[in-house]
Amino acid sequence: MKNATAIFLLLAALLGLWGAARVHEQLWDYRARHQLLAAAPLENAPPLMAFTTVALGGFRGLIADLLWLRTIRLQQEGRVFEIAQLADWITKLEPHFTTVWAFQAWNMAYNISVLFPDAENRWRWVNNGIRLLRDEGLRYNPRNPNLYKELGWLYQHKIGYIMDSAHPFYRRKLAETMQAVLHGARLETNPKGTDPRSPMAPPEAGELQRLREEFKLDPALMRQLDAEYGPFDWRLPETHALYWAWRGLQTARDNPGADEQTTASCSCHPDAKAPSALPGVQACDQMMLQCLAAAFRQGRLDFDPATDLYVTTPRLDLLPQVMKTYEQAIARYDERNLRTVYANFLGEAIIILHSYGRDAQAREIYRQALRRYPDLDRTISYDDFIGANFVAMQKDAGDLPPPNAVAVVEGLLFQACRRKAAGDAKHAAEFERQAKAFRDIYMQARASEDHRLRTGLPELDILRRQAERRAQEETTPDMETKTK
Amino acid sequence: MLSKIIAISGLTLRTAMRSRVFALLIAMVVICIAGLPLMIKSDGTAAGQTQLFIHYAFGLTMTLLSIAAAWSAAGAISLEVAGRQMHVLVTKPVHAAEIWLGKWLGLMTINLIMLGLAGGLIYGLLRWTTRNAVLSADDQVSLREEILTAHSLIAPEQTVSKPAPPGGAGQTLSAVPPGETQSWTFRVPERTSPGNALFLQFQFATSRLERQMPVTGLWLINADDSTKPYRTLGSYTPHVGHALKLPPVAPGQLLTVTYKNVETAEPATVLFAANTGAQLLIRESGFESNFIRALLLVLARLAFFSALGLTVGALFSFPVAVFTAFAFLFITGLSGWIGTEALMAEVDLSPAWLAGLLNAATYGIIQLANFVTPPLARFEPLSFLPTGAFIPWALVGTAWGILAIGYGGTLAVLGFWMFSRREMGLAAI
Amino acid sequence: MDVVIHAEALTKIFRDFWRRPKVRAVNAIAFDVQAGEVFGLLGPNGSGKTTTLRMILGLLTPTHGTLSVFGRSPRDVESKARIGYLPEESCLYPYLTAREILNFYGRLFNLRRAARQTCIDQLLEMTGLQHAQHRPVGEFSKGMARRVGLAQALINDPDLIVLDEPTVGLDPVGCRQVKDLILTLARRGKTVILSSHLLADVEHVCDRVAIMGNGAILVQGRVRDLLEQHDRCRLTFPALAPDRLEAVLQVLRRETGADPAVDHPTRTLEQFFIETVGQVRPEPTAPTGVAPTEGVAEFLKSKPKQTSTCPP
Repeated sequence: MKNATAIFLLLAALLGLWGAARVHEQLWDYRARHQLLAAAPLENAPPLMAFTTVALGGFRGLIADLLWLRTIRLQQEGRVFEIAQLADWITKLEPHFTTVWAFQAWNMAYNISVLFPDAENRWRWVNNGIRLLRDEGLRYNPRNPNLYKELGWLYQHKIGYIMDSAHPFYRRKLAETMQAVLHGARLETNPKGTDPRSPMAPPEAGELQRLREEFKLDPALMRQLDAEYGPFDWRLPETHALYWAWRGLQTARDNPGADEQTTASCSCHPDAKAPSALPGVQACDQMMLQCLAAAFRQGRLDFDPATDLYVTTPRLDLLPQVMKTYEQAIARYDERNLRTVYANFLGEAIIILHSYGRDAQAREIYRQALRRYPDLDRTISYDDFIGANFVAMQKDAGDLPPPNAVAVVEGLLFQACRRKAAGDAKHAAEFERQAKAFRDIYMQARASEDHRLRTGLPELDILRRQAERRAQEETTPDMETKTK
Repeated sequence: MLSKIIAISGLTLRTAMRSRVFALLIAMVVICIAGLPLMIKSDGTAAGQTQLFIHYAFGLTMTLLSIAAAWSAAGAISLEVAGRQMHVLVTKPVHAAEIWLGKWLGLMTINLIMLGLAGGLIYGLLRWTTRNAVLSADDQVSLREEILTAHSLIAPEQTVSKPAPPGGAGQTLSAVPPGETQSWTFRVPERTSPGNALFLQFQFATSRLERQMPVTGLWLINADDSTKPYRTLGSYTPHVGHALKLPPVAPGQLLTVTYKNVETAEPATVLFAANTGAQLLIRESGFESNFIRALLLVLARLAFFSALGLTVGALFSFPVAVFTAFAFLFITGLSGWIGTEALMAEVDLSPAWLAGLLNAATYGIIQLANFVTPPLARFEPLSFLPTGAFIPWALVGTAWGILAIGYGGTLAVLGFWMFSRREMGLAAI
Repeated sequence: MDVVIHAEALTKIFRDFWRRPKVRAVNAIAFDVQAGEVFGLLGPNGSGKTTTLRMILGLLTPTHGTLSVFGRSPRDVESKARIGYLPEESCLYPYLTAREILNFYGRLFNLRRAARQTCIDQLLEMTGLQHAQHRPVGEFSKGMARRVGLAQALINDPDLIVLDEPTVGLDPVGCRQVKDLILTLARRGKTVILSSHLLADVEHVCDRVAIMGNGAILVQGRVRDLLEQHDRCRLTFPALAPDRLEAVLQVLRRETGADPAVDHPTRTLEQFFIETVGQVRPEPTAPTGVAPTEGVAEFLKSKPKQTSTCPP
């Protein structure tokens, strides 16, 4: 009898609990509908975290502040072993505050990493920053384009750009990791052994799972991105930045209005031109354009971890796609700034194409540019443009960004190869001389070791080998199509 | 007198041991500490993981036990007054001091048991998570030399700059222009064991605007019994602590350390702090003895918290006592901050005389709070243990002298006096 | 005779948080308790009995007046070695066993281990708690806890025993035992002061009583003096046949001029209960509750006016 009463009471309690949960759900929906929620419920959060954030209520901001103060103090004291944990707590206390995620990730990747003299330790902290955004931030804010953009920024700027003297190490590490997973530059669609030209086997199931779980890269989406804009070399940081910016755009397209709900984005980047000042969608768009342009400039990677070879050279075949994307964006936003950026890119592209002797293509682009930009001086012919810009550029080679400088040197060497193959030894020597002179001027402008480390060019021999290979590929049309 | 104190402490201990709260506290400490390695998120290195575990496990233990100590002490007298057990006890031939001391001794025994348990658990887990099977040999060595050790810093006996600085003595920074050198002379203490690694710890700033841009430097280390100096060239980031492992040096030797600011394409003057710019890091003792000293520092803190709880419990009812004790704990916890940053803050309003008055009043209150709260930050084991810094016995002695005897004793006298004057027969305040 | 407790103009005023007088619980009372006397404080609830006892024990400080116990201040620690106190409610440590509690209090009186154990054994025997001595008192019934309280009050064989409502919570057998105990202690020359509102208890054991009301002593004196009706007599004789009884009544009517009342004397209900319960002997070791006991602890029965068998 006693047991029966207990069972009855237990059942009644469970029934009551179930009823309360149902009512609670309705109430929650009602509050969300009428925008009565101070913070939206956490998505994908473990129960303990969801409970903590709800239970702490308004106090969680206070606790986050205290933890933040502690972070600053520890950082000043150089005691950084606790920072990752504090960042984890702070972000989880304010899981919808995009700025918090962005700042904490940026702090680890930018500020803390440089506290370490060795590249290995720096890379660990850059990775800690990436992981915070990729593994945690996006998990709780899957519909926030700003966070995708912030994640892309770490790849594009921290790993891809020359700010950090350890950036060559970061690039190599990323390439090494991705090469191990992908067995090459990208996800191959041909099964193992069916294509005799494919030197490597495609990733196996375990590796695909690793892509999904560890790097949060969806193989299907990677293929889709390759098909729409590429194909790209997935060992390059710019490709990852492109992927995340593209994911951000997709998210924004699938969830209209999500961008407006998010809080103000981060203004903590040192670079004023960072896309973070823009709303998430536009920033993602801008990042995509920047990454596509970078893929054109330096999207071809020759990497060999055994010999520490890491050379990036232009992907000339990507130019039409990059131009198309730029034009679509200009049509979408109709912004003067974007048009200027595109004009500059076209100028850059003309110079690079000219370096490789692709004057017909360069001339066509120049014509298009004149058509598109009525305020350009139409009296200047293509040859005058090249004459003025290319010569000036050779004089001020030291000021050129490293990918452009590589492109020019490799382009000149490429032309030397072609001439040599055609039996024109005289012109071949002239191109060789120009390439060497250009490289020398560029390197002379880099007096310090740190500067050379960050922005130096590969040796001439290495670039010559790249040029030779490119020349070989262009004479074998199959090879060119293969890269597509 | 002693037998009565022991009887009361035994009663306190026995009561506590049998209460569910005690069992709950043990379970909480065990679960928290044992579950910690699974929950913490370190920087990804074995050293970081170990440091974080020591820091959080110790911090957690300290927090839990401090709260438990203040809570149980606040209830030790006040709850007995409310439950009228104290009515019977004070009709027996015992002095208020005997009751207070007996309770304190009982609570300290509980603190000791809890701390021993938590300490044992932390140590066991530390050994388990850093065992040979888990970590590489390199990680093991670096852990042993940098974290699971007890080292202290030795200041240089002499600092020589070339060229000599124009300002003369009293400078806080010494500048090393490009191409110039600076030397420090250290006496390797006799107490160092010849087998243990010596480190040179240094930190500097540069004249560059780019704070983090590294500089190239050459270190020359010369012991007075060796003819060939040890040389190492490296690129070092400013504003970051660096540790250079030195070759073995016999105890008692004079060690001359010279830094040459290597001239590069982008030269920079390097600035060392006069006393702390370069210091010798020597191993003072093993990690285990340091760990025990850290536990003793925690125990000194618990001695103070127990005294605090007992005294407020002797005066107030349980809720009031707990509130008072925790408020004091909170202020004490902030005392480090109060002593430094809060004093610098100033109210700015008009009229000026009102602002001045407010500032003076605030300053006075903060100074008073700083004075009445014990300097816990000075005896913070977390400043030492996770970084492998040596905790001298003198510090442990000072902690017990100041926290347990000084502050605890003052509270005890206050507690005796108030308790002996309190009318037990009144309804609880 | 020695005066154990001396109170003169004793007043206790309870104040509020702002020190304003709130209640005058005891109002200028005066009384003396002599050594070897059983003194009862009677009165309704709130009359000031417990406040008076608490002042005697040093738990409260008198607002005005004089109060001395054994010629010293009630707060004097030394004189507390001669006092035993049973509070109104059993205030015991719930996690400790009966033996542990007695042992603890014994240690406070510096009783040596062997003597302490003997005393504890005898007190447990006396209170019928031997079988439950190793159980935590938190599990005890009110009556059992009361007995532990009584035992702790007697552990030092005190010269002055202060009992606040000593029979509250006890069954009639227990009440009787307490009353017997009080009488035994009194015979040994111990001084007992008790408060109660059960008048029968007081009437049976007290030599003198003070009746309190509104904080003042309304009347005090020897129980017999207060209760005896000097203008009336009572005869008790074996039952007679009706005609012979009528003859006796005739004589009484003639002599007193009044009509005498005749009835059969009755036993008290307490007496009857004890006789009835006494006939039903429970099992020698009861699993719970109080085992039947007789008499008082040996060390409490020793010669009067001597130091106890459990010397401090």
